[in-house]
Amino acid sequence: MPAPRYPRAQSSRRTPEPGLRALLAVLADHRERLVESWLDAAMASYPAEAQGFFLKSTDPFRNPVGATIAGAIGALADGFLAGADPASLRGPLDDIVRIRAVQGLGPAAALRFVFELKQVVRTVLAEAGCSEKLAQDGVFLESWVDALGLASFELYAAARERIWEIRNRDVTARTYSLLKRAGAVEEDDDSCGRPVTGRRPVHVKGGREE
Amino acid sequence: MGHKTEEQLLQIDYAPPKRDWTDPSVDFEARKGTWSYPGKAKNLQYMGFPNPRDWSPTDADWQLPEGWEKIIHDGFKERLEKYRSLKVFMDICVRCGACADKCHFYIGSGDPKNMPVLRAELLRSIYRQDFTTTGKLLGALGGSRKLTPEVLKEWFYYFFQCTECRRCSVFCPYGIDTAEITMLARELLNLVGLNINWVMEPVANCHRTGNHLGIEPHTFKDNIDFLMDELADITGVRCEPSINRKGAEILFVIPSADYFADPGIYTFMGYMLLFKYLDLDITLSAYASEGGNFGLFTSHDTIKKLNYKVYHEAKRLGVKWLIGGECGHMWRVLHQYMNTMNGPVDFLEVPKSPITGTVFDNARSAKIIHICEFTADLIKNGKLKLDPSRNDHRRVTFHDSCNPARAMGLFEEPRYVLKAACNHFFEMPENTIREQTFCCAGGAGLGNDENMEMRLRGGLPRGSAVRYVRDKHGVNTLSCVCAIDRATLSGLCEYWAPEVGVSGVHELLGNALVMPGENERPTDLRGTPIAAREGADHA
Ligand code: SF4
Ligand code: SF4
Repeated sequence: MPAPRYPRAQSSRRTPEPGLRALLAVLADHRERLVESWLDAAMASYPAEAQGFFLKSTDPFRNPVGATIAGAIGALADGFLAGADPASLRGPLDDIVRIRAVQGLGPAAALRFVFELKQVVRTVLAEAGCSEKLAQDGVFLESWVDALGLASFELYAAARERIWEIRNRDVTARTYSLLKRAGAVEEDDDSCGRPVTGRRPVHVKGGREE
Repeated sequence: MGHKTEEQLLQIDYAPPKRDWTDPSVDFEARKGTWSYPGKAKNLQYMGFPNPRDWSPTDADWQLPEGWEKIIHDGFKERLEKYRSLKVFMDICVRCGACADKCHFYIGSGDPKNMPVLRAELLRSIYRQDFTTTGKLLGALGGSRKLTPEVLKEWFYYFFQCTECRRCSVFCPYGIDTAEITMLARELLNLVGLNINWVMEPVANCHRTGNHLGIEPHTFKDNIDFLMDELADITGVRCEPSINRKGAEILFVIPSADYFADPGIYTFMGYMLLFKYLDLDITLSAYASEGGNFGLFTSHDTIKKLNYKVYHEAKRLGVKWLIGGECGHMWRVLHQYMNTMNGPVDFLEVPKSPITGTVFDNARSAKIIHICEFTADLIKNGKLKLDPSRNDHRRVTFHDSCNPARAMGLFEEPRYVLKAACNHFFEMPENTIREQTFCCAGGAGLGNDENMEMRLRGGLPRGSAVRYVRDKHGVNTLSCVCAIDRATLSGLCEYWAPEVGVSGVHELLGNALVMPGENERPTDLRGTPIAAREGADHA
């Protein structure tokens, strides 16, 4: 089994307010429930048959969608419970978003899981009989989720853009030697910056730069 | 109705409605990115295929030919009689579900109809209705459906979402091969003019000029000369491969991507260095200029038609035997079909390496060996001087391509070559390699641009394994022996495992092979500086 991918979430530099610490402390006591409900919320966008499969196996190779999303939701929840700066959670967030960006869900359904944390927290607090904590510290929850949501927009857009870049590069790669022989492409001067990996970045002369 | 709390009012059910699998409707407009453009009329006309017309899957009317129901029914009947396996596969599935979660497209998408068992059921339901008494009597209760235009649309969508990789069949206790079901479903679709251009264009081009791009012999030669100039610049060694040379001992057949596409051209350079090193009596053919055979993704007749050029060129040039280059489905066609489809290849001899004297008994009937078998034998017999440190800037893993690996058992030879040519080799996890290998998700004609989203979904299982060895061992090179893989895995890695590049096995061999009279070689065949060479002892 692979090593855990995510470094431990860093607390935000600002120490959470005492009241907030209390909110997070209540939630931390119910971490499992929080993670489970958040994961269920994320999985709700898949067909019923698939949800069972995605939730069943934790083997990241037999079930990369389920295992990745479960691992990343766990990491995001831990980050939230530690009061971490959402910007420090781009790794796990990107892992989820990258998958959902190619699953035909559309941006709203793909990213809805981020905003569902609000409902999950409300439910967990209600179950714990601590709904009043939200009245004191709801602002933290709101702004934390908003920040994570904004980061997810960026990652989603980047993933979709990457798909188009790949499509463009496929086209030149396919007839690379013909284009080169015809003097129709020139290699990117920066290509020595990524020597081994990826396809050679090329410019199609007279065309749009890749 | 009870009074809802504010909490309950806020809870909106976003789950997609549960769908009955027998409902065939597919919203092509909403699913752009997961289907391929249809075959253009000119390509169908060129091949003499039925119902040529320009159309789009988003059209309400797919312009099916008159009497299409009967055409499909008769075609189905004919194939049930001709291929016993099809009838068996239609009858014996017990719906145990062992195959269900083994398809990369299901694993990546969660779309139930990408489960192999359900994919096959799309065809089986019509089989029951049309060809079994219980099916006729029980109707929907017995799992049968009526053939409607909607069902054909659904077939088009899902049978062009199967890469014919056979992973599912490894897990089926009855050996049901969904890839074969897909092949036959595609044959049926072809009867009414439903096919995809990414298959039909290469097929038509191949039929006309011998290769997928429609390149004529003079361009074939010019391009190879150009690559040999580049190779001479890099290595200081000039290779002059023969083309169409009568009386050569061996005919070498490769996919056209090896001399056109990035990164296939570096694999081609590797082959050419090897042949020069050995002074091998081998020739290319400007007519058999494509090993790839998209007939395999069309119909049995088309495979035969397109492969005939290889058979004919072997005969015309009077060679003794063949070597196949690094192409997955090509290897399957040449090794498993040519002898019986176009053959017998009784004018050829059992391959015998002129360098080591090894007789390739395993190829006694097919008379063709894979380049990795040939090279592994050379290495085993100590015939190659290799400096693997010239690949020290590469940390390499190996992707088993579906056809050579799962369908043909070619597991060890490529690994043997890689381990001799590179110092840093790492395997991906057990359940993602060898017979359990995960497809690149772009085979069987699906490696086109418009289908990119589906390719990336289906590519997730392979991508996760690549990412794993990238993170764990610093792997930066995914090596493989397939031209489709080289094209599709490049994009797959760009998305799922950035910073991992794709290369052929013989590209890496070419880097390591110490050629007599060569330059200092500060770079590899791609022109990438060999950083680790600094201060190293040059052989
Ligand atoms: S052959 Fe491959 S792509 Fe087709 S259903 Fe089986 S696993 Fe999926
Ligand atoms: S594993 Fe074989 S028998 Fe079982 S559901 Fe799949 S195809 Fe049918």
